[in-house]
Amino acid sequence: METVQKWRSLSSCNRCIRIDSSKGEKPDLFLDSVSVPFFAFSIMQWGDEGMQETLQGTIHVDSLTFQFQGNGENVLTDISLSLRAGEWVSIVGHNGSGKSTLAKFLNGLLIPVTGDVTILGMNTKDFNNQPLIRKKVSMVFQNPDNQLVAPTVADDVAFGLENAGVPFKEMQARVRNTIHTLGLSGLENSEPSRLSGGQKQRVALAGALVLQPEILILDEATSMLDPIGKKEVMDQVQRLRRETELTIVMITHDLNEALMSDRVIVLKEGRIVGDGPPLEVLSHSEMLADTNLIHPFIIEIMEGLKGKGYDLREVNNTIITEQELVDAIWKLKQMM
Amino acid sequence: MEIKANDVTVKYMVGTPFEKVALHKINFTLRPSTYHVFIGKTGSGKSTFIQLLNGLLKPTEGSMLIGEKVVNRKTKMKQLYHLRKEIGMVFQFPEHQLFHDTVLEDVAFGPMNLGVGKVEAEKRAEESLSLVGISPSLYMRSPYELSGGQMRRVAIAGVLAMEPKVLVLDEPTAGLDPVGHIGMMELFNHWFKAKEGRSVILVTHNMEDAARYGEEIHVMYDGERKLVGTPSELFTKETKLNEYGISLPNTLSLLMELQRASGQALITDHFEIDDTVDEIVSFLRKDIENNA
Repeated sequence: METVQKWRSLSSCNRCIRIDSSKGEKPDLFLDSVSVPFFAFSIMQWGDEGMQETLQGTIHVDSLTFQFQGNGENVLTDISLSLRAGEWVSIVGHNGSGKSTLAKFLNGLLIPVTGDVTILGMNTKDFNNQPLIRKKVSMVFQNPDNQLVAPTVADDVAFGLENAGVPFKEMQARVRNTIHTLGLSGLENSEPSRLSGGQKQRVALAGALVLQPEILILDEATSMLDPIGKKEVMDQVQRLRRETELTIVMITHDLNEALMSDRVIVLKEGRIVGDGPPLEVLSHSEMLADTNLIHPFIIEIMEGLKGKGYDLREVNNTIITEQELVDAIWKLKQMM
Repeated sequence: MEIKANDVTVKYMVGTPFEKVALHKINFTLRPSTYHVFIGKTGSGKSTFIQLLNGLLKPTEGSMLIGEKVVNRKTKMKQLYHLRKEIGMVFQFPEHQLFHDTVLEDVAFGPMNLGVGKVEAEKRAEESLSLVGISPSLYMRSPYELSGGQMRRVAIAGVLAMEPKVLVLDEPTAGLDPVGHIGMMELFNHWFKAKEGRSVILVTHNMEDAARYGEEIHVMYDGERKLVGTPSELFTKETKLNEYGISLPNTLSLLMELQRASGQALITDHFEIDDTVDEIVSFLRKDIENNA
């Protein structure tokens, strides 16, 4: 129970995590309550340089099973998966399917008792790895108001770097660059509380990205935003996917967002029931119904048209945006 | 129940350098027995407005008329107590408000607090719990043992058990999975339709819900109500909506794009997926007829 409370209090504020990582201290979060078999680390020799290279930006989960203490029910059961460097992965599923719990294993906030999680070649069970894992994995949470702490946008973005003791000149440059790339230029001296939801969440994203992580985890980061705020954040995620090597893990209930990613993992009652390209996974009606999900809007329309005898996939079988859908309908009409 | 705003201004932190006008001289009447939806960007004043409805907030200037009750700057908080009987509020994450030992006690707490006897209060609690789909086998459980979705239903049952005339909903489905979202929105609609004289005031970012359930949609921008109308009246004003930071429901947005790409007029006053599919089908067929 104690462990659960600890990560809960941590998870409500990614700043706390940044403080941990940046002080370079050995976090003692779980030492008192989770028994950790250290042999796992000695078996896997990830110390080799070449090995490190091939595993850059990757997460491996091997036979992970997890339950909260005293509950007796598995939150996660026998999860195995491997994320490739630079991949943008969505994790979807019903409420209580274990999505957010899984996310907390992917950045070492939770440590496996059964199974292993290896992040960038580092097993999360080895506490010596924790400081580096925290540096390499950044997380953005649901509620922007819980994540911003400083009086101005620039201070807020600089917070993590300041804690890490980055020299002032370098810090200034990195903060300026990150603010610029996230389209927040001009807001440097604004109070975070006066920004729109989309702007706040981009500040949170800037605070995460300025630390130059290799893995970014977004835990329902757009769910409290209005449609325009959602688009602002998703545009940034798409840009990161295009322009950087960042591995992106996105926990979401918004299947229209999941459709844009490279790969969708579906969880049901703590088990993986679907894993593959978004167009395939999110077209699978029975599996979606079984996990309290529905088709993304685009697929819903295509399925409806197919039911009336118009199969747009014959025109274009990779439609994921509204524009592509419109083009396909228009093209089909012109072909008739 | 009629709700009227007369020249209402709400300012936060008056007399400090941080003074902020959240609502600026709003003047309008909300028709009784209507499903109202408030949309607008973050910070447009929607949430401030709904806090005026049950006395969580008083106008800085002007007055609110809520049913028979006038609320202005001088109204004593104590007098607003009775408003809470008539206006039920469901905020984001209502499950955070659960506190009793058992589900049944938690739901019965509201009516008992309003002076209803224990037997009657529990009867009402059972009715509301059945309405929200919580089975009797859970009545004696602790609310904290339930899943997140169940907890939220219990919290909502607690509001419904007070038998409000107006149900105010501020993003009530935040964090629910898609099927949970649909179920909950249908639940509110069912409550709305079950008895004459009930109203809903929904604050949402979800334009599909606004179009599906709203009878009157109000657009807030910069502390003022800028537009009002039925979904089909409102969502055809695309340029205006853009100006106020409002996007279209995705069904309508698709048809508008198709209209632009093809240069052909489409019928754009229905917002359901099925209607949209039908409209695209008739668009495709029309061409065949024209060619023939």
